Parts: sequence; structure tokens; C-alpha cells
Amino acid sequence: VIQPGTATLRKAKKITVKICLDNPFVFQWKTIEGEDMHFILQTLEERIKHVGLKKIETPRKKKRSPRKIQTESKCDASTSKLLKKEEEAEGHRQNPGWTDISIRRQLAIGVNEVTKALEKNELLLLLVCKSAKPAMITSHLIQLSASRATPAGQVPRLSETVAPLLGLTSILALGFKKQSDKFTEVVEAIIPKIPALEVPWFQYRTEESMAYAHTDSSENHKPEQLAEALEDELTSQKRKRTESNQLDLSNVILQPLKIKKLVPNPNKIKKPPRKKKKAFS
Amino acid sequence: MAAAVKDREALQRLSFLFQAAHWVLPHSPALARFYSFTQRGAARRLVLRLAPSVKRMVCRRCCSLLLPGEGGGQRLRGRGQPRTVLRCRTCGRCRRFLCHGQNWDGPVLESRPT
Repeated sequence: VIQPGTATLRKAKKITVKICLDNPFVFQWKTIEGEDMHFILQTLEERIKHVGLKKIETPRKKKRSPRKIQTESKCDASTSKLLKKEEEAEGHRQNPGWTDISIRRQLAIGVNEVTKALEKNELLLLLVCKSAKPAMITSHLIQLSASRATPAGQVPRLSETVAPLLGLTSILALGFKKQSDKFTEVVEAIIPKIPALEVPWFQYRTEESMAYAHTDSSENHKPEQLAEALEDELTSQKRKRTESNQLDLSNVILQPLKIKKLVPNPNKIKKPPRKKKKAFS
Repeated sequence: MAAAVKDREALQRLSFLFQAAHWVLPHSPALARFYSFTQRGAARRLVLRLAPSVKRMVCRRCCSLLLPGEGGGQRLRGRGQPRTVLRCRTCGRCRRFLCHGQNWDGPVLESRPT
């Protein structure tokens, strides 16, 4: 037992490595190619400018005027009577809020709105910004959208391009609802560009699971055989069970065990151990 | 590392249970709950650690498996300090996690691939 006073003499403490179970599933967004990315961004920009959807906030008066002038110059084609139109538009647009509510309803803007709409199966297409920090705030969308079989794509600069167009500070998720009439062309143009998402346990996509089965053959055999043997026994013994209860386990791929080894941080700030004062005893 | 070899089988069992629960979820959430319950019980008996990402997918009260789609609703709340609120649908238990600032990879413990 070494006294605390002599702690500085010994250098390296024996660092125990702790082992913990790591999550075997890893969800990653698939990278969209540069051309497709630009195409998506451009189509979105054009569409939004064309529609003229914008949100105006009252408390920030300083930033309003340059933004308004810009939007008017972009949206209004005829710039003959600028002054009069500006005054009229100012009077019209001083009401805080969105310029067009009906269009606003066709979009789900923001992560929470997108998740709500996804849970209700209302979305046709989903676009996520890649520059989210921390990445955890958008990672749940991958699984959600895969479960609803909704195409979802991650575009790096979504927030930078779309947010100023709409008058918001940042957009991390954007969803197009199923009833949108103005955005259907955009949606149909973008959908084929987005690669499909991989989520192993949803058997909606049999093609992907077949590809998996071909690649990992060594790991599959044992669990598959066990599963099939079990299934056969069950079917022979209990015939009362309807077929819906039998699971389709032939496509199951057991992920290899993922272990995370934790090494306690050497720079960890430890509280100085309290010395029990026995001076008064 | 003899200790690792001993626990390796147990960890494999845990991992298998976890994955099985995911596969079973669309068919019967009750079975998924049973698997997660067994997994947690096994981890507790052998005092094995689970990664925080694994722990978050399992509800603490009812042990049902929470997927972002089915079972656990996830929302982002909080203006000053953004946090994710994970809500179990079956038992209604809320869990809150802070969204740490930028450049945050994990908790203080470092993991070295040895």
C-alpha cells in the first residue's frame, strides 16, 4: 500500500482495459454524388424562389430591408414601378409569418416536424443536411424513414442553401408531404437520384437482403440452420399456429460481435481523495 | 486476456439477443421485450457493460425495444441547451439526453482498438 505522499514516484499505474458491448448495427447515410447533389440543390432553389415561400420575422428589423429588396428583385419580374411596389409589399409583408401558408403546409420543415410527419406516413421525400453537429440529432431519421419506405437523402449543404431562401437560420431536415401539388415535379426529379438506405431487419427490400446473404455465407450457416431446424420442429408439433406467426428467418444475417474496449482516460480529472481527519479523535 | 475470452461468449449472447429483438420487433413487440429483458438480466448477472447507444434503445422501465419508428418517439427540445427526448410508447417513460456541442465523439472514457 503506497502512501499518497509518494504517489509522484511511481509513474504508470496499471491501466485496466474495460470491455463493453458495442452496438452491432451501424447506420450510415449513403453519400450522394457531387452532380446529383448540385442538381438537387439547384432544383430546390429554383422551386422555392419560383413559389416565393418565405418567413418574415418582426423582431429583427435591421435585417429585413436588404432581404426584402432582394426577394422582390428576384420574385417580381416587372421592376418598372419599384417604389410603389416596395411600399405595397412592405405593407403586405410586415405581417410576421410565412408568405404563403398553403405552401408551408406542404412542407415539413425542421427535425421535429419531419419526425412527426414520418410517424404518420405523410412524407414523400426526405432531405437531410449533412452538416449537423452533433450528428446524433439526425441519425434517428435514417431508421425511421427506412421503416416507412420513404426515400431519404443526405445533402451536405442543405442548410446553407435553403435556409436563407426561406428566411430561417438553419434547416437540418426537410420533408415533402404527400399532398403537395407544387412540389411534385421536384420530388419526382429528385427521387431517382437518391440511393436506397440499408437497414438490415426490414424485409421490405428483398434485393438487398439477397445480396447480403451472398456475401456473408460463413456466418450465416449456423444461425440459419438452427433457425430452420427450430421452425421445422414447430411446424410439425404445433399445427394450430397460423402461418403468420412463423418468421421468415432465412434472410437473417448475424452481425459479428462488436466489442468496445474502454481505456480510462489518463487525463481524467479526479477529485482529490478526502483524507479522513482523525485529529479530533 | 483471459477475462476477455470468458466474457466473449456472454457478450456474443447479448449481441445475439439484441439483434434477435430487432428482427422480431415487427412481428411481436412482446417477444422483443422478452429478449431485451433477458439481455439486460444476463448483463446484470455477469456485470457486463453495455454501450450507451445500446442502452438507449431499450426502455428502462418496461425493457421494450425502442426503435425511432416503432416504440420510441424522439423529439428535439430545448432552445438554450438542445436535448433529445426519447419517449417509450408502451410505458410512457421519457429519457432526456443532451445534445452536446460540436466535436463531441463520446464520453470521457477513451476507447482504443487493441
